[in-house]
Amino acid sequence: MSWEQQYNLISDDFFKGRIYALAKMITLVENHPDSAWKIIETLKKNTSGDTPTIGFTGSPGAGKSTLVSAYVSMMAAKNQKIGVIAVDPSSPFTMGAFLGDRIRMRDISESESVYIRSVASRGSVGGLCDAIYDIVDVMKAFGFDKIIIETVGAGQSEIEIVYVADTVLLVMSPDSGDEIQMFKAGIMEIADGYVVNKIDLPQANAFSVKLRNTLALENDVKSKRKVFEVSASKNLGVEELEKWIDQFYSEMSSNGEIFKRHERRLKRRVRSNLMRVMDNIISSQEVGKNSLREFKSMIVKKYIQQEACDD
Amino acid sequence: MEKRIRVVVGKPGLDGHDRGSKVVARALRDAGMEVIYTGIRQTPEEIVNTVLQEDADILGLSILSGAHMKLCQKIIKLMKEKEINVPIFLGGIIPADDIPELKKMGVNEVFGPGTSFEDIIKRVKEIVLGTAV
Repeated sequence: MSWEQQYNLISDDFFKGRIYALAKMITLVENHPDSAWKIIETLKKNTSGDTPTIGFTGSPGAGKSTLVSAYVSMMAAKNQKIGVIAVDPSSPFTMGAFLGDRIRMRDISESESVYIRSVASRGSVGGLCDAIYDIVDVMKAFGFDKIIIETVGAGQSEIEIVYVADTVLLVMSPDSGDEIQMFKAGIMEIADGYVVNKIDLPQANAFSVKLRNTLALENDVKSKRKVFEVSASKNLGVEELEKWIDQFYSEMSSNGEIFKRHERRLKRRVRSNLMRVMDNIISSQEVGKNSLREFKSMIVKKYIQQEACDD
Repeated sequence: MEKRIRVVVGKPGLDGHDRGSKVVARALRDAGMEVIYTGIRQTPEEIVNTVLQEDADILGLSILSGAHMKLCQKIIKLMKEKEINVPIFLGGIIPADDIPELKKMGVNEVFGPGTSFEDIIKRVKEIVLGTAV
């Protein structure tokens, strides 16, 4: 079945707010990356406004899913409609995946106003998946009050989330190293707020103090960033975090920061789309006896041809 | 893009013996499937809700408590109510005498102890991709 046929089958129910249609629409954009933008364009005609998108990242086992669960249940209690995208890695060898984030989200998995989707990274290396921009757009079109994205357990350079989400929170476990680790570029730089989770552990306060001290030495922007001490599993400190996320979003909306971020996202999205198409063209072409320059112009020509066909 | 089979593996009911479901979930992962693992002590409602939200192609259940008839009945009833048409396979301790009744109820396949991963993977692919009955 073509994507158009599949789309037509579910689009009415999608706009009626039926969950099965949302689930199938996400599968559709995930499996048809080349047609996804056409699907998104069609969906967007029927929506207006923008939905705050909050990203949670951090190393494996830091407590991202548990924190997302605690945070989302607070909003669900106020009858807010929340969409959660939880990404876990795909195997580079078999492309299979073990998606286990839902286990930590049992408090919200039965809530009528919460939708959780587990997504596999499918070869993407930035901590998310290639389809993430499209999935977020599908969710926006469906009509949520907020969209929450949880990355794979992230290392130092898996920072795609900074382009996808409006606000980024870095969830840290109190045993994630000394201040040398905090000085390092990459993931430490992309957070708007730092969450020291498992604050009930004995070493947690010392870690938090170290983090605050380290941030105080940074530039004007970074030194003002907030640090939250929470225990997601014991639901301590989550309320403060929830309030701050809303407050930070309205600050960004009033000082224009949000538009800068939207522009950054658009550029990145176009880039990742072009890269994917280019990648496919390059890997499908034989180099043969072509020189480097000839091969390159051959690829560019192929690309322009293909673009013309798509339009 | 090649279709990725999405499997929900869940353990309904009160028994906590999850070794089997974990081992099968990992075998399906290694066979290139995307496995959504729900963990133990799930209610039928939770499992059906997960299948719905995740757009699963197939649902795998593991039951060792002896309550498989009631639990499967409940899950299949809920799925019908929500108009979810997703095949089901079952593993665990299931007496052979119960299998015909389970299949009549709508369970597509039952894998007893000792079934090889090879057989499970092959059968799951057959059911999802519709290559055999």
